[in-house]
Amino acid sequence: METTFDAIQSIKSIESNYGPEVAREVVQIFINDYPAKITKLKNAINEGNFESVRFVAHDIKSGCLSMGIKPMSNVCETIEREGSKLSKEELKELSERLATDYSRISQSYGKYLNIGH
Amino acid sequence: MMPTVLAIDDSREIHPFLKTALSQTCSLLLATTLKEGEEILSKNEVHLILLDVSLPDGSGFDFCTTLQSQDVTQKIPVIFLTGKIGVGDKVLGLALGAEDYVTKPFDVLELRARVESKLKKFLYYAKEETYFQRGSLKFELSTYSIYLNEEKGNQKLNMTPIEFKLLLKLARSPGYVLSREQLIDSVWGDSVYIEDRSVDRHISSIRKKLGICSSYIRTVPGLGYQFLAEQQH
Repeated sequence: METTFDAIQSIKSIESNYGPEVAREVVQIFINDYPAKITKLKNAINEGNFESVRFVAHDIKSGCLSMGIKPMSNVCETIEREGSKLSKEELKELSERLATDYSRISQSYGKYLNIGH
Repeated sequence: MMPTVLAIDDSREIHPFLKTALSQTCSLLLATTLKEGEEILSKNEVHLILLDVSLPDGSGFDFCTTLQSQDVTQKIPVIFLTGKIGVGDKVLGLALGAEDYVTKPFDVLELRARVESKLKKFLYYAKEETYFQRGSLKFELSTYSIYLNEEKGNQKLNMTPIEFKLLLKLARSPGYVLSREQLIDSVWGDSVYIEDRSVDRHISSIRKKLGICSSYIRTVPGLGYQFLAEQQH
C-alpha cells in the first residue's frame, strides 16, 4: 500500500501549486524537524503517556496531511484515533513504521534538494 | 493598508503554505505557541486569527474562549485551522464563537476565499465603531490611542496597550464598580496570574496620564474602580 506513494511526485505537486521556494522550505522542515517528532512519539509510547502520544501523533499527522505524505498521516491517524485501544507493542510497531516511512521519504526529498541545486 | 492576520500553528511546515496562500490578501504574522500569539496580539492590531486546536502550551478552543471574553479581542474573527476533522470538534469550535472551521490539508484557494470573506465582514463592521467617546476622552479603537478633547484641540495621551484596555473596560461601563478580578479577567484573561496590586499600579499610572481628567476613575474601597465621566460632564 505504501509503495504506491511517490515522494518526489508529492513534492512536485507542492512545487506546482505553491512554487519551488515553498516546496524546498517544506522539504527542509520535514528533513530537519521530523526525526525529533518521531523520537518524541516513541518516548511517549515507552512512557505510556497516551495524552502525549495522541498530541504528537496529531502534530505529525497535521503536517503530513499538508505536505501530502499520506502513508505517514495515515499511521498517525490510526495512533491518534485508535491508540487508546492498542497495546504498547502495537503502538511501537506503528511508530517504527512511521520511522521507516520517514527514512524513505527523507531520502527522496534529499535527492529532490540536490537536483534543485 | 493590508489587514493583518495572525496564524497560531505549531507545525512550522504549515507556515510556508499559509504565507503563499495569503500573501496577496493580508499581512501575515506567525506564532507557534499561544504565548507567542498573545504577545503578538498585545503589540499589533490583528483583524483575523487562524488558530490551530492542539498547541504545545494549550488548547486553541480554550484560547478562543479567552479571546471572546476580552473586550479588545472579542470582535476579532477566529478561523480554526486544524487536523481535527471530527464533527464533534467542528461543532465545538463553532459553538465557541469561531467564524469558521477549516481542516487540514486545506486548499489554498478555499482558505484564501474564507479568510477574505471573514475579513471583509469584520472590516465592514469595524468601520461602524472606529472610535469610542466617553466624557472628554476619545478612544481610537484601531490604534489603541486615547485623545483628550481640549478647547485647543485633541491631545494624545501616551497610554500603554494594557492601560488602554483597562481604561476602555472601565469607560464602557460608566457608573459600574468593576472589581480588580473583573479587570484582570477582561484585560489579561483568566489564564494568567496577575496580582491585584498590579491593577492598582496601572490605574495610578493612568490617572497621572489623564491629568485634569484623573477624577474620571474613582477608587471604591474594598470593591474596585468606577468610571465617572458621564456624571461629571
